[in-house]
Amino acid sequence: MIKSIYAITIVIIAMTLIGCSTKKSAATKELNNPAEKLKTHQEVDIDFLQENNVQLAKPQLMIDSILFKKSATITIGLDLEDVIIRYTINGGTPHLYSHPIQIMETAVLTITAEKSGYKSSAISDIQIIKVPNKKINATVTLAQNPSENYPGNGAQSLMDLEQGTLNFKENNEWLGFQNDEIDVNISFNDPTRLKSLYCSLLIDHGAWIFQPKEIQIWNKDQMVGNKTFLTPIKQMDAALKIIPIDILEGTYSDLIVRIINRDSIPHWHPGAGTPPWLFIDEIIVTW
Amino acid sequence: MIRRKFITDLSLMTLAGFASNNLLGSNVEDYKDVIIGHNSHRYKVDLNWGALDSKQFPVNDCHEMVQDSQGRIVLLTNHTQNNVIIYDKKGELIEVWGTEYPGAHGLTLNVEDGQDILYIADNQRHEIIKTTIDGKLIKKFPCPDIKEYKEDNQYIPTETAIANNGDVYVADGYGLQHILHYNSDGQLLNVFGGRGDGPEHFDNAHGICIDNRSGEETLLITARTQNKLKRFSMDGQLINVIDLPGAYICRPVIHGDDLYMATIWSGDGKPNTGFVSILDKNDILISAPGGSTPTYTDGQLQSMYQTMKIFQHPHDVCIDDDENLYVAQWNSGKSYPIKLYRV
Repeated sequence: MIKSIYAITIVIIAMTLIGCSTKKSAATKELNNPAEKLKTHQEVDIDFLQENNVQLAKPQLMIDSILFKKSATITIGLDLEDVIIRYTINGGTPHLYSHPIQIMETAVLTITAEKSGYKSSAISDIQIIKVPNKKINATVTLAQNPSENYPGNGAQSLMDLEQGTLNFKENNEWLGFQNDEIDVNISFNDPTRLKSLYCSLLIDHGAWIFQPKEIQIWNKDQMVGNKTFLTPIKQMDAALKIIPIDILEGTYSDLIVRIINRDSIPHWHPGAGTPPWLFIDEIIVTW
Repeated sequence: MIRRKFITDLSLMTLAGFASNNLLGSNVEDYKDVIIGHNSHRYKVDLNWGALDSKQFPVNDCHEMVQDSQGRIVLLTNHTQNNVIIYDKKGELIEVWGTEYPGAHGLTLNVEDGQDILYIADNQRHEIIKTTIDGKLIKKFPCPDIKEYKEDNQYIPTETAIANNGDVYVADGYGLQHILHYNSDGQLLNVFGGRGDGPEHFDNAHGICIDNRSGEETLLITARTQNKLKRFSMDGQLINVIDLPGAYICRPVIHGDDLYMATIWSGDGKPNTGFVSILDKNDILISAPGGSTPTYTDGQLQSMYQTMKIFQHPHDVCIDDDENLYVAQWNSGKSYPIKLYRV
């Protein structure tokens, strides 16, 4: 890092002109005496923070709805001069962002901000899901009750398509669990043709909320889909994660979404060894 | 602004080759110091200020800082090996004291009979402790004996403010959200605020200060979770509410004509999204070091957010007599304060 010199007290400019100012005086003891302070030329070597050591924050995303029926509009911004925002849709070619993006189909967007001389932002990603025009009629029950403190709006609200807000701190939609296993039973009123399902989870390590070890989808005695998760690495930011799970294409009357919680919080966390929390607010089934 | 003028002159001199001893180093072009903030309040950043041997002089949360009459910078941390760490402005250690403040949170300095006096709000001891500048106990303000508080541990004070007449105001910011008004003897005179849905109520009444910029004293109190700053008369009547959407403001600090507030989170309150908020005497946000440009549309401030990852969780700011800023941070890897040099 480049050393810079920064003069921080009142000095007589003439002293500087004749070059007697490079001496570094320790003025600490003289601070009590205003007269001394005036005479003292304090100078400090400061390693000012350099641009190339600073990372940009993640860009701000504004989405009309992450669960949409026809289309969703995404506005992206980071208020810095000459900032460049790039995004990809489903991992495709990066695009330069210039105006709000309209999305017509289920997609994952990844977004970064760049600025010359600075470290680029971390990658933001967001899953946006096209949901059926008609709400799927189903009865949802839970084999285990959520924590008294985080009951959300009950089991049925897991499929009301009313949720999915990013402002999870400001709503109480989340069902919180500390169980080893959570079984969500879904009984469709009419047999429904399906090939995928999404679980909307909250990840907030600071609040001891983690992703599960595995999510399994069962139909009677057959597992028709599953997803496993690695031991989570330290993640500073809280995030809403919508986890897509492919299921065996077919027509179903009943499904069980079995969420298998991690045994304990990972070793790097202050809560290491204790049971983690699991927070879920929505299960979305789509064709 | 003598200081800034001087620095400008110094740079010009160097560029013109006046300084034969090459004061600014060999290549001015190499400099790309980050500058944060907006309008009149822009700063360079020194992340290394005040760093000490963390075994000998550890910190947990760096909660609050003030400058004393001797020009020293006084830091309050909730590490009971040294609750108070006193630096000079360069960040060199002068002294430490304090081992009895496990919940050391609020630090206010008031000059009484010519002496610097500290008021420490301890949210684990559930009381305010008044001390001399070198840590000798003067007085305690315990949990108030009123019906609202059934147990002492409902009282979790976060901050104090001292009026010209010596009256003491306490914000119960992590407790029942009351503002408690005492005379200097510790006699309770009034209680206002509290939880509720009205504009006069609080959610996290985290910080309080006395504003006498208009010539008349009023109280400024943060409602942190509500992203609002609320102005009250000294007898507890709400005067007005200043909206700061997206800014989770900790404590108001007045310096000169301006108001400074560490902003611990921004946007929708995600971790590690803090910045610093600076308002002018008309209560307009004029600069947000580390945050987005303050923009007013039809008189409404647009929601604020962090733009650069410099701060994690700023919890307090101290402005020294050189107009430089010190930023104390909560839950930020046990790091020492950050100094911002005004440019």
